[in-house]
Amino acid sequence: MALFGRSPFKPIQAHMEKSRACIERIKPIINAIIDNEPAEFDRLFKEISDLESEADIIKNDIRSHLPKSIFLPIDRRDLLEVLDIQEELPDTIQDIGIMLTLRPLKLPADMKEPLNNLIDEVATVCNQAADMVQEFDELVETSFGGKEAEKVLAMIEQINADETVADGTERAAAKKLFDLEKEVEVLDVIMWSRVINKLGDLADSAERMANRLRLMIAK
Amino acid sequence: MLETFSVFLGQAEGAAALFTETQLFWAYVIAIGAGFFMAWSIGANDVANAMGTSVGSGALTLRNAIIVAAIFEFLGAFFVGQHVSETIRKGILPLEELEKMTAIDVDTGEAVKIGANLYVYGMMGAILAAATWLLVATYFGLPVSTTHSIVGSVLGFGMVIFWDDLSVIEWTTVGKIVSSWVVSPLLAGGFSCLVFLVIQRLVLYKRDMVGAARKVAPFLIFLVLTIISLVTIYKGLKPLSDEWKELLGLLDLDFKGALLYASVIGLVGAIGSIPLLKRITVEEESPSEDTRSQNPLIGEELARLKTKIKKLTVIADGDVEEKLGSLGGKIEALSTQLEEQEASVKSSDAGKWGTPQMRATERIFVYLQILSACTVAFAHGANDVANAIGPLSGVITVLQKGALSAKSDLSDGWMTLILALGGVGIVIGLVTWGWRVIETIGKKITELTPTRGFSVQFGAAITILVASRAGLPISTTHTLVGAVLGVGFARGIGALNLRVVRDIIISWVMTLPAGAFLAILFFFILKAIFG
Repeated sequence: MALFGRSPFKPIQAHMEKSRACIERIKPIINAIIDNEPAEFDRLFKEISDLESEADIIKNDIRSHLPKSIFLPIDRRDLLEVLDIQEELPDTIQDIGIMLTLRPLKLPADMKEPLNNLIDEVATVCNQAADMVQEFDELVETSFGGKEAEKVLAMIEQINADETVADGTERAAAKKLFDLEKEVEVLDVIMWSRVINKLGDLADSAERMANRLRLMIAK
Repeated sequence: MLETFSVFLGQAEGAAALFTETQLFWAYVIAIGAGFFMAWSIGANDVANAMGTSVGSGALTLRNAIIVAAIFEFLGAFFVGQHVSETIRKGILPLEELEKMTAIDVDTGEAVKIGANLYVYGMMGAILAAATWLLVATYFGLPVSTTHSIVGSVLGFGMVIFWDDLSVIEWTTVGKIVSSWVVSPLLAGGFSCLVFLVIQRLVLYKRDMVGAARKVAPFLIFLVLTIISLVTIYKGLKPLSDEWKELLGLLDLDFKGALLYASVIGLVGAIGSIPLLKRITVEEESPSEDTRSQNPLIGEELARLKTKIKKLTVIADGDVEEKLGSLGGKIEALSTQLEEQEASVKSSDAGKWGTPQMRATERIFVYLQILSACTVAFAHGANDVANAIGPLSGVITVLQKGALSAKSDLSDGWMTLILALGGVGIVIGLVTWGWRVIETIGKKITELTPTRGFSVQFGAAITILVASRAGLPISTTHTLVGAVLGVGFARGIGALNLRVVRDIIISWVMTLPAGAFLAILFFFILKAIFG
């Protein structure tokens, strides 16, 4: 029957898995710069770029199968917006990669720990968002209500909380960087502070996804 | 030989006066032949819509779906089919008016009764028109409703005959029928929505889904069996002789009696299901590999690539053509591999999505969907067989009684025979061609899990069966669409294409005139041949 459209939920989960793969590469790629391993950096950068392209293809495919005449159990607009925000993750990670190539960068030893803490926390929030998207299967099955919906709402709350913590860690890392400004080249300070900002943006995107999902579940 | 033929068929003398033996012979041939063809195409096209979702959700294998459909389509057609059939035979055309019609015989100059002849030609024309429309529409891949075609054709014929005084046509009946076409999808949608909401609240929303399902399922089984039995039994089951009815305790049951009888059937089914349901348990949590999320996309892209490569191979030559050929081969191998992978994933518990709890719940509802598949096949047979044999029964009544009268009813023996013919036709259509369509639909519709499939089929089955008892010919396809939309409205389905609604409304407007036009055409052709 032509009645059944192509469900967008599985493709959105596939898209998120591409993002998750990118998230896993943040820590190694930044540390490749810090530890001065250009070969490793190049390899990771290529992987991230490939993943970002693949995610793009999936995203366009989803969009082209969601005309206005498709009826979904949740608001179509909400879903498209989650997809848009989801798209920001691999894009931002690719941006970070590009930034790291613009000029040779050096990082003071004292920054290594705060920066890695930030990376860890941001990765946690993003992974939680990815887990949340993986719950779409179950949400569709239970028609976005009941105990499953409660479980996902709890995940959303957790993401909100963790993003706030990541915010604090971002500020701390930036402050630490400027504390060390006498020891660091000006341009390095600028670049690293931009990298720190972008990392914060990742956590923001994850939180915005979570909030959109909350709208979807509430009837 | 023809003389023996007429005697064998128990012709009343009147018929011999109305038709020559050649005419009689051809009348039978066409009425039975075209009727059988209609029945065949109902089995080949329509049944798949009812059964496809059961295969898609994994509730029934293709083989079992065919068996279930064959049995229950026949049972529905045989035991409940006569109500709608009677509507087509005598509900639309005013038989009394036809009776009165006379014309001047060219040879004798006397007034001769022609109503019966006109009726026979018209009915034959109607069934030929509907059958032709079916062939044409299927060839062009257009969706077609056998019900709309027949009703349109019969109406068309009526309008030609009574052109001077259209008011004698039973417009109230026509109005009832057309409004039932609009009401039935809505009603089915309402029922299905309700059923699914119940399942949603009582099972899907719970923490312990499997436990809840085990409790709710028997109640649902009770409901299904009771309602279906009640609608079938109460003042129905004509083909059953009185002796059989007495044996089964079904003779002369009033409403309360029928309700009681039906409830007992329901209870037996419900209680019997409890031990079966206990056997379904939640499986161990296994590490999930979500390979399925990519496969639909890959499959589609591969298919597009194949077509592109084929086109390029045609216009290329020499070295490029060779390279393209080998590329095409590799893509072919890839997609075969993908299909095998998907098939094995599918066979292992309908894909590893969702939690084990959810999968176990759906497995419980598989039983319920099997039940609802039976009921929907039953209801479909009851409503649609009339499209094939309605005109046939009309023709045979006239040929039998040798006259046309409002009171003239087919002898019970003939009725049973004709219903059986229709039923058998549907089954043969199903077994020779319909199974292919079921397979295709089953592959495409994997969205409807058993919980949804059950809700859709149950809602549709009640609607179709009630309409059948009321003698209203409705489109089972549209009813099913309505039921699916109802479940979608309750947030039950991943993605629905609403353009289909627009297409349905268009078909409401188009099919009646198309059928009527063709009927008129055939009527004049037949009149010219036989006249």
